[in-house]
Amino acid sequence: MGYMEIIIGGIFVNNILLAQFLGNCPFLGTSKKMETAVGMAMAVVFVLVLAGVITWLLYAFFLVPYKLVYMRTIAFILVIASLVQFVEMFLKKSIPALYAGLGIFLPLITTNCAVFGACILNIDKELSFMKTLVQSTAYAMGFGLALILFAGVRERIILSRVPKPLQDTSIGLVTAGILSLTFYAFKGMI
Amino acid sequence: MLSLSAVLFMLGLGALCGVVLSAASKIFYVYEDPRIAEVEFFMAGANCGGCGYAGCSAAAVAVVAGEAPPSACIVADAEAANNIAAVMGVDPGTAEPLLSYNTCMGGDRAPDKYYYMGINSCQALATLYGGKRECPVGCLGLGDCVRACAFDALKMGPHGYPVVDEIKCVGCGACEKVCPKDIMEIKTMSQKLLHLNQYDDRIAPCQQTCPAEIDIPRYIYQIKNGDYEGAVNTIRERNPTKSFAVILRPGLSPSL
Repeated sequence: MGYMEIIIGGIFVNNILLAQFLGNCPFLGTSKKMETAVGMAMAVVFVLVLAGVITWLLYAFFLVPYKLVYMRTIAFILVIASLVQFVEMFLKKSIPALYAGLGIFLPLITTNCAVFGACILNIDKELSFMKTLVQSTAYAMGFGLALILFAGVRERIILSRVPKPLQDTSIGLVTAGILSLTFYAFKGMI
Repeated sequence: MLSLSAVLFMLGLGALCGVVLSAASKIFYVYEDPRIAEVEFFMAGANCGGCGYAGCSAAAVAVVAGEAPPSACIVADAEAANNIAAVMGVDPGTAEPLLSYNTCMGGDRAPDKYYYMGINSCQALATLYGGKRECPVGCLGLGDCVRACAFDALKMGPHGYPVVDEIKCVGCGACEKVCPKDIMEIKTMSQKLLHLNQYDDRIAPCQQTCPAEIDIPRYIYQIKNGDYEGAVNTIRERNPTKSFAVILRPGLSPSL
């Protein structure tokens, strides 16, 4: 699998939100305003790339040599949670502007299944280190693309007349389904 | 021995993460103004958002930064504002509290256009031709505001419009947001007194056109019940000169 295929596949074909349905909680929760969606997308790009790299290193240098592969779920959760805490402290001290920009979204990603799912997918495909880096970036960008597209749609929906029982989250779920269908057009590209 | 290595591995990983994080919290320690915690201590701690900030701690940060007055917390009392002002070393000032005012005194007096049988909510009723009352601007009387009030300060009165308990009201604005007819208004006492009657205010025609903005329906109600002193005070309340004589004699209609 070449780098171009990984990038196209990660962003469009196997989009982590609309084709793999991982991380739907922030997808619905942070897409009401474009500003929030952009903040969340940036935080995910930041954390997903770091988590992908760290979990790959942990897997290759600890879990496989010591025959502890069956421990990967709990080990990855522990590492991702600690990593996010560490990154939060680091940013607060070193880059306060970025810390203020990401705000509440950084700690929220600790328990985001899109991050954990992307790490597991990287391992399952037995990618090399560089390819893991590229695939993690592509997944994160796909997450950001889907979230920002969805936020744009939802900002329009607020202005239109929606029947009362369908308002807010209900119409959001319907929209997410239709958006997911449109991403099925990319199936078969790779 | 497989399980032992797994336990040791998790123990090691956990210990490593713990050590790294505790070291990081020391290395990347950011000094935070201790006054923020002190100011937040005196606030109500309800995180109601009535002050306009995201929560009590956000409001405390704004107070310490000098962007908000010591009386920013609308739920906390004057003593709390004084304490916060003492922490900040500034004058507490005399901030006027916001209160909820019901601007419709009509209620049941307006006749109905149709019989409504549906959800017991003003929001739902307002979607059907603007409500069941003939009066297009008045209170619908189903009590969305009463249910929205988190401080138990609103009750549905005997005449089909809500009555504000001014002691319990903190002016958070929940009733104002939920009312489909914009009857509940959150304002200070000065704003209420300085308000000049507008064309779309919910008041009787005689009061609408009175140049002195006197509360005429209340005046007539007081005379009807023999409360002449109250009636004089009603006139004096808004009378700009305070010197008009109201001559009341039994058997005669009152005249200015």
